[in-house]
Amino acid sequence: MKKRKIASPSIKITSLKKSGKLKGCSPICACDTDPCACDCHFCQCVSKKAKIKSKSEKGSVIKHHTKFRIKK
Amino acid sequence: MSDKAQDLASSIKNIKPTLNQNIFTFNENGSIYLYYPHTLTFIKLDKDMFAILKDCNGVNTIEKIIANNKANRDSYSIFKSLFKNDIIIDRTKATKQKPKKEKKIDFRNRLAIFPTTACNLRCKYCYANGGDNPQYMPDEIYQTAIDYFIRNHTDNSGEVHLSFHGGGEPTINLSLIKKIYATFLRNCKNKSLKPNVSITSNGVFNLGVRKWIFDKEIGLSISMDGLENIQNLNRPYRDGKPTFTEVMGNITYFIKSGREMGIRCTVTSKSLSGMKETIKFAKANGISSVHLEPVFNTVRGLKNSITSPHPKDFVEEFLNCFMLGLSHDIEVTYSGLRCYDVPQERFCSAAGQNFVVTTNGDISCCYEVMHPSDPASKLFFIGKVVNNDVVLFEENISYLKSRVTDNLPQCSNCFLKFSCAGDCLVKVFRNTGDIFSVDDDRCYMARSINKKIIMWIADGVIEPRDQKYKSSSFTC
Repeated sequence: MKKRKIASPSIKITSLKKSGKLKGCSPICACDTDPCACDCHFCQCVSKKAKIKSKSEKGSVIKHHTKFRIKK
Repeated sequence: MSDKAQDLASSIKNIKPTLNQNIFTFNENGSIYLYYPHTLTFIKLDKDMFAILKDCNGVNTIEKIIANNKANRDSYSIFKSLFKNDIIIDRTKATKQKPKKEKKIDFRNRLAIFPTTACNLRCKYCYANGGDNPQYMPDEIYQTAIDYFIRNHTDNSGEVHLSFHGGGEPTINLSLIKKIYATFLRNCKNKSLKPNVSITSNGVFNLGVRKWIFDKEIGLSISMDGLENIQNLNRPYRDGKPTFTEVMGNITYFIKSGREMGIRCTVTSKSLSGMKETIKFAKANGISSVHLEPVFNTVRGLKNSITSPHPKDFVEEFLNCFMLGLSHDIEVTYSGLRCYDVPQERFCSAAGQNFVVTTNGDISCCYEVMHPSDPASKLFFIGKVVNNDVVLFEENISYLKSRVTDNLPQCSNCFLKFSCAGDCLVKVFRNTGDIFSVDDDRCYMARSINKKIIMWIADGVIEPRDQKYKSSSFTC
């Protein structure tokens, strides 16, 4: 009789929520309301596009614009 | 098993887990994916793991599930992670959620004003027919609207937004928007509210406007179509002359001044092939985000033979642009890309929560509905400024507010039901006559794009840039 193979379940979990609150309607939206108050496709960009760098940001660490990156 | 693993096993083995009913599952290319929008969790799993999850029916204990599936005893660690991400739940610990009380008036903290229908450009697809019938907002309309909004908005964040927007080019009359701005700030001060002001513009404005926007730190969103030939073709001056140089002059000024600037590009069937070049153009010019949006049918667009890209072509090009954007550190987005945003039951605030004051004093719930002659105004107009007061159309507000995911039968089983939430109300209305229906083309685009990106995240093809977001793999 064939012995049944013991299952080796495999799962990869990526969670964007548990370890940090997402803000706004878009990954780089500057809107602080949750859920975002500016979420139509016209107005959702208003805050993020308008984001003005604070003095500490200017000329300091490189700030990335994308929430994701291509895995190397 | 280590002592730690044994402790874990004994602490959870008798729990009878139930698979969360709001988890969405799909098979693609022989792989199984789970997507849970509420915790923004993206999962790829194998058949053994899927069989285990199917046994999570609230009857079997974890110990029994592991035994039934002849799974390795180290699988207990997987269950711990599944609980942590709410993929499975322990019903005995479930707490009853209090039903939300819906407020009769629910204008959040964003007021939009269309100061004018005059426009310096004649964009070939303009939905507002901007500039064709130039009018300017009378003082009593914005004064009354601002006063009413500040007194009645329901957001308690202590901050309110004023957005100058459409119908025409808001910056075309600087003295008018300065007066509106001053009125808004005065009202905010009286109520101790923090004001936040932004302008959506075509980017063609003079040095006086530019200086005012800069000095007052007004937020700026610019609609421009990217590449020079496309911008000049689709977004010329009213006399047909090119606008690219003026727009880029202003964008470059703000970027050099330290602002992050994004552009919103309208994509037509003709400009589709230039989408990837637009991302490279953005990179070369320091633009940080590109919003790509397929054009929709408008009266002027039809006259100019403007057609929208085929949905399948747009999906393909958008996904290429998304990846190209990641490699260039340019955020590439479109209105339907929401799989990694906070879950929501409404597509946008047009579902009864916007307060958009048009040039002649109508109050609309949608930025795309501004003329009383528009059939959609019967539904999307939610009030009017009359005799220094605001009259609200409560029936329309209630109807629009009811446009939530749970009331959309065609979306009931969709994995995007808490992300897309039925897509754009007015486009669905224009195409079907019913805001509770579905626009097939936009539905296709949203589903295709989001599904692919969910798979990329779950597969690990792309990863969160921020280290605080966790990714974990288990193989037992």
